[in-house]
Amino acid sequence: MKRWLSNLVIGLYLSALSGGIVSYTLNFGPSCHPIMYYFVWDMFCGWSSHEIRYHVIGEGESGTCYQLAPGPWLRFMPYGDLDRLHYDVLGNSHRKMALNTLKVTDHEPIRRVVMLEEVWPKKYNWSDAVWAMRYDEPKEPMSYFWQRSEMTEDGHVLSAVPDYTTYLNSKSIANNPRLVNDTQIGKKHYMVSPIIRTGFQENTDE
Amino acid sequence: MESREPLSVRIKHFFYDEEVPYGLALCRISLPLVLMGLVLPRWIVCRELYSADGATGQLSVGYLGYDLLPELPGSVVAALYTVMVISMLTLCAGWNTRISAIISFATFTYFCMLDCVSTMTKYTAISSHVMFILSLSDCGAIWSVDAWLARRQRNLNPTKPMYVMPKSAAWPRRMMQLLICYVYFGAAVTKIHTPSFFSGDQLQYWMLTHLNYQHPIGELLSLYPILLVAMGYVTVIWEVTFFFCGWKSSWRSFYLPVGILFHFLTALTLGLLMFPMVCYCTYFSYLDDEDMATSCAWLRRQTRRFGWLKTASVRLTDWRNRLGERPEWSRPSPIWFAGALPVVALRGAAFE
Repeated sequence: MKRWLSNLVIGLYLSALSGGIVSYTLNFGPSCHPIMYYFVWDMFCGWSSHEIRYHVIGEGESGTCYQLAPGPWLRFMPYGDLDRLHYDVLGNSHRKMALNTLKVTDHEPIRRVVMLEEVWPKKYNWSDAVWAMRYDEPKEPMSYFWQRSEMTEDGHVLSAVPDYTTYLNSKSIANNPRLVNDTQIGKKHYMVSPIIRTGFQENTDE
Repeated sequence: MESREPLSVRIKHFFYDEEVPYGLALCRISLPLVLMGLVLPRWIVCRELYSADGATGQLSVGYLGYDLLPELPGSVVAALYTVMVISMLTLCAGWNTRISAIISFATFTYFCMLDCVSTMTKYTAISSHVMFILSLSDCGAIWSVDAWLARRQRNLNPTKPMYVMPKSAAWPRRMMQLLICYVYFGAAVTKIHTPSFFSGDQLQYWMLTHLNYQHPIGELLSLYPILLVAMGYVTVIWEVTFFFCGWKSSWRSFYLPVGILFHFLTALTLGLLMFPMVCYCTYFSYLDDEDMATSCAWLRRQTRRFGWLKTASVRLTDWRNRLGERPEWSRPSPIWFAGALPVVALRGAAFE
């Protein structure tokens, strides 16, 4: 009985690990359930060329702006010298941070709460010494600010848009007619070469 | 001529050969200590990170679009988190090892899934796997409080032989080895999926990212993309072939040191601190009886060679002997453990 149970555990465990690898390799449901996080080893391959920081701002009726994140608690910097809110790419916790801050503080009526992204190219992360080794011109960092979402004082979301890097990506495609055509070609499949897809043939005929 | 055994027999030997669980015991001792670097700083903010009173960021939102797990009140979370910390410490000490491993695995996984912003990472996922495997193993059979109590109890009976090292089937250790192979193989597949990895762009952007701990060497290295491309290719080749060459053979003495060096370099160039240490803990699963005998012989030689090591060894033996035989502690040990957990949980909640 014990041996049978051991075999079952080994079989199930190795099947789950194999399932994760196959799922990710074939892009077949690697994000279908949170449990997949434990079986898909897709670490460290999503770095963009921009550095992003987040700001959660409350705008009072007087026009004064208030910083509502990282929240009314102790400052917590999980992996170095950055507050926790800067690691929340999806913005899951920003709304809760803002509402908690508003809940435990005295303040004027808040007209709206906005989540902002501050974005700059990563080349500005080079220290001055390393910058001087790479460039002749002086380092003049510049940030873009992008309003990700807006909500009322009680947390009702008024508007939300994708993050700035997604916007840049979409815009770079939209500005290129060839890429726009490519997005309309064929459907997702694995066994057929893209060259023989119908859409591609139509385009080449033109 | 040497006859080859059938595949089924070789698989049986692979998973079910009896051995002293040295590697798993080392993993059991080291992993909770490493994870203390993660869980202790989060204890003071557990209400914020993991409770309904705070600002959780559940992992499930990114997958399903809603919160999958229940969020508990702040005081309950403080108590539960304290239980998790204590369970990890008792797992390290080997006191009621199996139940400690189960509690550690369940609570650690729960808290990680509640906070994908600042707790959940791939090394915490690996740690959950390892704790799950430890909970199935006999990792507490040696170098633990449980083993000490069992040893004293057994020595009371004069009809039984002197203490012998307990042996158990190798399959939990094999599962941990296979886990490492799968992790590396999956990481290689990811890199192959990412064309910009082989152009060096991904590594360059990563080295310029200021989200992890400080890594000034990475910043300097990012000026030389040709080096990054070369390192990227070497990494992928090593990760793919680890699955086949990391096993006990002449190749292992090359692959494991390269793995240790590789993870050390990720700390210097990418600012990863916890990930390498968790991986080093899992590397203990590559130690079997023979490796341990070799290591112990080497350690004994070093002890004889260096006076301070000999002194430390003698002091440790004296300290262990001073504890004496306490067979009466063995029977009520689980009761004390069960009684201590709620008390500690309440104290933790009150202190928080």
